[in-house]
Amino acid sequence: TFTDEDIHEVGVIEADKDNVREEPYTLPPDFEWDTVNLENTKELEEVYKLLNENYVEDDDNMFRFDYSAGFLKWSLRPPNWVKDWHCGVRVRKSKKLVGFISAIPALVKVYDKRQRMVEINFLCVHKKLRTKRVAPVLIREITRRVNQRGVFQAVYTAGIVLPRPVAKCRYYHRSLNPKKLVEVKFSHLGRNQTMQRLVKLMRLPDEPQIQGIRPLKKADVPQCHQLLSNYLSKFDLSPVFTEDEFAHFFLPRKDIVESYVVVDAQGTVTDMASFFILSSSVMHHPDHNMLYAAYSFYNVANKHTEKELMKDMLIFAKKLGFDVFNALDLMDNHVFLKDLKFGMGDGNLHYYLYNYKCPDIPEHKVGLVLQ
Amino acid sequence: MDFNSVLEEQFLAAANHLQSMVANHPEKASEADLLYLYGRYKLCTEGLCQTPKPGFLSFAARKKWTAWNNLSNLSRDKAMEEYVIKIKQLDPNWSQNGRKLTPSGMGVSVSTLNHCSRDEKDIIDTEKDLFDWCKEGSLSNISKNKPLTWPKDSEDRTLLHWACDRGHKNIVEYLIREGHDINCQDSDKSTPLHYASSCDREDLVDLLLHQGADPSISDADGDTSQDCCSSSKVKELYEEYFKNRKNNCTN
Repeated sequence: TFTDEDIHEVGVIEADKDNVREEPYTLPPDFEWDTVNLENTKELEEVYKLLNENYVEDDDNMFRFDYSAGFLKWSLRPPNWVKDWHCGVRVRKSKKLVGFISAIPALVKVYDKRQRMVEINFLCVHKKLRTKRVAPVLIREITRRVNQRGVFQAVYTAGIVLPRPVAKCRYYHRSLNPKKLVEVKFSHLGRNQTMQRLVKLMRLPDEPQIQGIRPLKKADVPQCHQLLSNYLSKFDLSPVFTEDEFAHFFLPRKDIVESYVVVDAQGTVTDMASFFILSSSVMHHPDHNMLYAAYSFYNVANKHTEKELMKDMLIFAKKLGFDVFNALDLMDNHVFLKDLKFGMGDGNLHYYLYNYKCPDIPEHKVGLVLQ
Repeated sequence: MDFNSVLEEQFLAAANHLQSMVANHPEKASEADLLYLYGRYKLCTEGLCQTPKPGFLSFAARKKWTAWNNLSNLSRDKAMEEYVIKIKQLDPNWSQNGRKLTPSGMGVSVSTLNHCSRDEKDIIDTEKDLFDWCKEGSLSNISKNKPLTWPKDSEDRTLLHWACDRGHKNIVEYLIREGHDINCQDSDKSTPLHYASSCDREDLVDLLLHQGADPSISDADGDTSQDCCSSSKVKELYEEYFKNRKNNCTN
């Protein structure tokens, strides 16, 4: 067509800049830049509050992500995190935090090339300021701050379509607490469908089925890191974790991330699976105000099948009190979604690269999950 | 990139739509239409045309260049607006799936389970039967149309099963009062008490047990109603019920 030509090469679009603008971009009057210090409990709370009151909602405004303060620290402070990439906007007079955007460093493999990038996330502007065009300035400013450190490529995801996604994935949902999901209208009961049968259909065993499956421990990190790295090398878009990064992202943290491993008689880690915890506030409901959700993170099935492994994740998640288990149709997830009774969601997730081009990537070749 | 502007989102959606339209229905847009859109797309995404005019022999490239270069007096917002209007003209069926444009930007997106049943047509009141009224919780319509014998659906479920499933306590109370069989079984041998237990409806389990529902009946899987519940409160109800019954027997 006239609007877009197919892309065949993999590589940077624009060469690195020699001179990066020194001074921050201009904000509308009455606003000022701030670097948010997440070590400071008060400032962490401010970001938490901004996101909880203004971040991503579904189309019908029934659910809004509820990132916990601990989750934000985990997500935004991986090894080699950069302080001024936690970029905030404040009202000059009141100092109220009204805008935020973040970047974390990442080495990303695109097809067979490795590129130093940042992952951009948590773009959020206070509802009352949505007409003041603060978001574009936030994006320009984070780009400038990232460029200043010699990084000129980024990866990010969004539900909406922008020019131009390199991949498109879809959310799938596995009900763990079907009755509550129907009550909060996360899912819907057909006219001729009974709750009784739905509950029965979604019932899970009380205990995990794989012999010896257990939480990931510090001592497993070197082996498990290797296992995941080998697995991720087969995808066309995937992170390249250092051992430190692996430990940061996967060692279990209560209410943030859970990882499990299967270890054979020789002490070799054969399989791993993980999920992170991201609940949503339920708006305008008399009885329920939270929807507890687990999100499939990275899984490597080796001795066991993906299906066996994920079934145990569902069982662990159910035991931990989650209402729903979410997964994207990326990596090898397509092999278990149907059998384990995941239902298709109405949300898509698009993957974007900034200043980097590559041919479109089918969902089963995507090996990157952002929080 | 501006995540705030509705126009911007419409423009992007329209540009996206053009791709699939050209792929699936190439007859919908003429070359002139495509050049019109091309010029506006370039203006919106890259600004004013500053590239040199392509050589004389690059016929197609020259046309595209001209389409872009001619728009030097057009503002970006106007160009986006014209682009969207043009797409709507070319494909009147195009709408953004009726979706509201959300002001959200980067990050994860909220997704809920796709409702296949959203396609279900609403039944008009005059065509509703007792089961429909029961599912909706309309006791008055059930009592108004009270039949001589209580009906069963294709799976042998009665109104009492459905009222327990949907959690309508007033209908359950009414049906029991009207002499509905409290231990009726559907094609899976499940009783209303099985339904109330499976759905962890504490109030209904309590009500049914005290109205004489039989908790010893097993369904086709061999599960009693007690086996079907999962909430601790309902489990406690059963334990208390059996404890009291035992006490009553020994006394």
